Amino acid sequence: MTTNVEQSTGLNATFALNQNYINQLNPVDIALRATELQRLQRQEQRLENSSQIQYRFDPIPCFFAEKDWESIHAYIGQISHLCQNLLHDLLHEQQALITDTKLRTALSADPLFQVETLDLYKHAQAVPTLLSFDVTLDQQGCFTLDAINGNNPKGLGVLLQQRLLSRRLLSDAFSEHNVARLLPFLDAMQSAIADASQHNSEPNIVMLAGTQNDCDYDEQLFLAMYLGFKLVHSGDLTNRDGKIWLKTLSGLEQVDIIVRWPDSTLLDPLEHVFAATDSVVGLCQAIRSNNVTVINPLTTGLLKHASVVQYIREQLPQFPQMDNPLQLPFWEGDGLSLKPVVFRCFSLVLPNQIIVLPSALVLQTNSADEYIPTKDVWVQTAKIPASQPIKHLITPLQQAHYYDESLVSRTAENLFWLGNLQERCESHIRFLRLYMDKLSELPMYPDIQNQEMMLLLQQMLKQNSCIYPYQALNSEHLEYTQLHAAKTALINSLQALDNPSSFKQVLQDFTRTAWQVRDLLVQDGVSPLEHIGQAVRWLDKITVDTPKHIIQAELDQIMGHLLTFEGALQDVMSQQNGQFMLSFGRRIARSEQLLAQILACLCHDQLATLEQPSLHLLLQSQQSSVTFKRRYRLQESVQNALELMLLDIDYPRSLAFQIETLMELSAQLPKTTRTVFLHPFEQRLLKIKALCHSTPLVQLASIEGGKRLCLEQVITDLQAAYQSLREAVQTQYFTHTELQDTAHRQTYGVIQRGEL
Amino acid sequence: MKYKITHTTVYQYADKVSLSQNQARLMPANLAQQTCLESELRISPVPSFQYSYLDSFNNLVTHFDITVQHQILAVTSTHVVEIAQRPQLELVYIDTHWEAVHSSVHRPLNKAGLDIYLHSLPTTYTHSTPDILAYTQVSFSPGRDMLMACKCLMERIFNDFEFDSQATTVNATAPDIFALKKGVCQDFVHVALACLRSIGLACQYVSGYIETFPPEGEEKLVGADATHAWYAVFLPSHGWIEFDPTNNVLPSNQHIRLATGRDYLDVAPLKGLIYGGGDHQLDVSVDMNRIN
Repeated sequence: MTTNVEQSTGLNATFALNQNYINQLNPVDIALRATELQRLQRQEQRLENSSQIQYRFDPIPCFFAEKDWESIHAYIGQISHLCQNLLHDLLHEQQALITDTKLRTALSADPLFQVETLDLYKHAQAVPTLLSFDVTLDQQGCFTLDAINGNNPKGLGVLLQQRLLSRRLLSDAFSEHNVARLLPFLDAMQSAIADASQHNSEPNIVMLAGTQNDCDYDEQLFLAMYLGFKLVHSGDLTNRDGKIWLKTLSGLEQVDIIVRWPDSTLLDPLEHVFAATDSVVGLCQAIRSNNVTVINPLTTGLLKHASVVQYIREQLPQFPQMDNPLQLPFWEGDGLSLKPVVFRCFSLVLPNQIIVLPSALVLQTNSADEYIPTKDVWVQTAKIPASQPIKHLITPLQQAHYYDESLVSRTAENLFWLGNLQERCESHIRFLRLYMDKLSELPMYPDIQNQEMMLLLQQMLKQNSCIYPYQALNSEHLEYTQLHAAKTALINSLQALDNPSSFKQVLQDFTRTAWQVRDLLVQDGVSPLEHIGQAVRWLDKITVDTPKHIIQAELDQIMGHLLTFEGALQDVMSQQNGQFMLSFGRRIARSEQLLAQILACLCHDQLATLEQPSLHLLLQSQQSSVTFKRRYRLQESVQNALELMLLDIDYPRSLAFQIETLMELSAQLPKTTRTVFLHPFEQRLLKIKALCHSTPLVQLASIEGGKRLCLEQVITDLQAAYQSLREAVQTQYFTHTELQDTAHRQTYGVIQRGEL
Repeated sequence: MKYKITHTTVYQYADKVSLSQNQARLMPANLAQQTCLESELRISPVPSFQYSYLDSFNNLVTHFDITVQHQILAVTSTHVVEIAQRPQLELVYIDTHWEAVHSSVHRPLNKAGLDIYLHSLPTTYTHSTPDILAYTQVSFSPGRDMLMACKCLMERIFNDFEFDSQATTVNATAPDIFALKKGVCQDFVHVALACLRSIGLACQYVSGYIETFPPEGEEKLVGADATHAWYAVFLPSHGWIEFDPTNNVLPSNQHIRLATGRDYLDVAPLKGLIYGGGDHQLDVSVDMNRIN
């Protein structure tokens, strides 16, 4: 294939290399490679479709002759050296700011410039720094520095991913051209990071990323996995005792080194001016006290400022004016076309050495598409590169430890809430189904008792007494004429924006939580989630005029998707990956909704007239009518119902069964204190069990003054005990704080001036 | 003059807070005219960890973490501070026009000069507008004596702005307040800082306490005092000179300095992050009494 690779004098060898390579190709070959590369890219990045791609890997690499690359290498080395000097000066003498009025005026007026940050490294040893530079080349081989990124290695992960895929796809060309390997650079980077810890020879290294919504999240995840670092969010880290810790299910793990992605001005909300979600309280003080090393150091964020770029540029050799920036051929689907590009080069700045990556990420500028077309630079080298895999800092044993015992608390908490929300969604659907059935039956059996029952149901729905958040039922007198509002109450419960417990809201919370743990989901679990996402959108369309049977059918489908999702997880998720947490959340939610429904159905003010229908309501909403009838035949009493729903440890929907299951599941939770004592959550589970079983059934079922006071009291106590159990799990495993009643007691913390 | 100051801050939360991490700037500095004789910070619940350090502006910061569930956070600082009379600037002859001060600030010779220069730059709270610049230029006419111009600006803010504790919130910026012409001491200081920085002068936000007196014939109420704010302007020959635009006075021996910074964000007496808690109610009480 022939194309117009522009000729020049400065980069002759490089142009010849690229021209020769392109001449060997035909359009069909390139098209096939482009398709395959895109497929591999999607597969690697776990993307659903091509529209989610941020970068599109071009199937033709950019070759560079070794001699031509040497000048770029020298240029990047020189810029890195200047940046290193400037950073050192900013931390110490600040002569650049004192003597250079332009730099001082521009830099200090920028919000990025924070004097607090400069103070952090007064006494610290030099920290390895990974810098990237955007450089434009012209045909004569002249360079212009366009931008510096000192915050994070953005683009390095993309380059690495592209290199791995292109190398696989174009293995012949790769070996034929003796392409310089990236491994020595990555190896040096990994070793420099590991050596940066001042206290620990086997440091605990984490990569601090943004959230899953961050556009660079996939790159961060890839790079962290490749280098063997744990990828964490700011919420996974906490500052205690002036040190930084990773919150895991088995306790707090001290972090020695943080490789950061967030901007340097956003990392500590107490010391930095800007509030941010990617921040860790007390991080600055931990750095100041040398308790943690952050890479890149916070000061390097300043390098991206335009005045710094200009300052550095002014100290570089001046090239003649660039009037014709370099263009490279990119595959456009039906042919190649020349596009302007920028080269993103990387360097690792160490106290006594600067290492330049023998490659660059070529980014097409002025791309009209949503994605940025990229190439990776293949630098030809005379040396035969030795092939050896990158050594992982986390050994397989440590990996197992990390995934088995040290499940990150955020993941565990997400799984807990996922189980909890799934149960809430299912329970909500069951109650709405029952409500619609009763509403449909009413015109057929419009007797007083059915009317009153429907009115009671309507109150339960409006007041959320049988569905989350399980508010106490306040009986209000409703007239039969108010039944026309029953359908409106149903629609409100399904989709009302002002109702935080509406079905739509709960369903949205469920899907949001599920996506938070997407790394643990298999494809079978993702499909039902997508269907549920569609159902959430469908809920917006329903009105009071939507027929009940259509609503009912849709709710049944949602229930089906929920159960499929659960089945997919149960099928593949191991206990070590937190399956027990999912069940833990679900059992607590089921217990809480059962208690609320018993309270609403068996302790209301209309027991004299509505006891039997209410009993049926409870059994139906708990899907227990069939079991109840089979067991008790015609003896439909509240006492029997309570026996089944509260005390039967073999019945999967009873409270006693939930308690036994919770006790079994709690054995999976890591114990962080001496085993001779019961843990706070174990104490609470025992209390729940005792409360459930200690009151005689006759007493529970008895009515005094028209009310079931004893049952009401026991249920209220159980609800408080469950609340306390949730708090115990929350504080012990998720936030790693103390419960109020287990804390050491002292009235005041006193700081005398002498101590300061 | 010796004072005993008790400053109590109580946060009451609707729900339990599981983790609270805070910074307090509640320790009076030791300065040429101010000596902190005794100082105590009492925190409830007892912090699981605390440390102190000097921030970039030389303020003593106490960081504390509370890792036990709580619904009330109480921080009480008690200090005994001795104040010496500040030099009476009325008696001092300062023959420096403000443009000379500007030149000096903008040509730093060393790190100390650079620190002063940084105080001449606008901040989130103190950015300027053409209206603010025009307002400033009335006091800072070409060639005017620096001290006279500063006093003039303070007096005009005192006269042109109305004290109204309901008019603004803690987030009001200088342009907001300038448009309203109402606010509290913090707001007047931000306006003054925006004015001075609009013409490139270096100035500081100062937080602290001021002695107050009850109306004649009435007894002073417990907890009725409040934290106060004023500002300081840099004069190469005299250092930082303080101005109180809320009372139109040059602080002498009734102002106790807690912290200084570029604006309120640098000196907030208590700031922090909590996990949980829901809505909260804040109560602050300050007592400042002379002691023998």
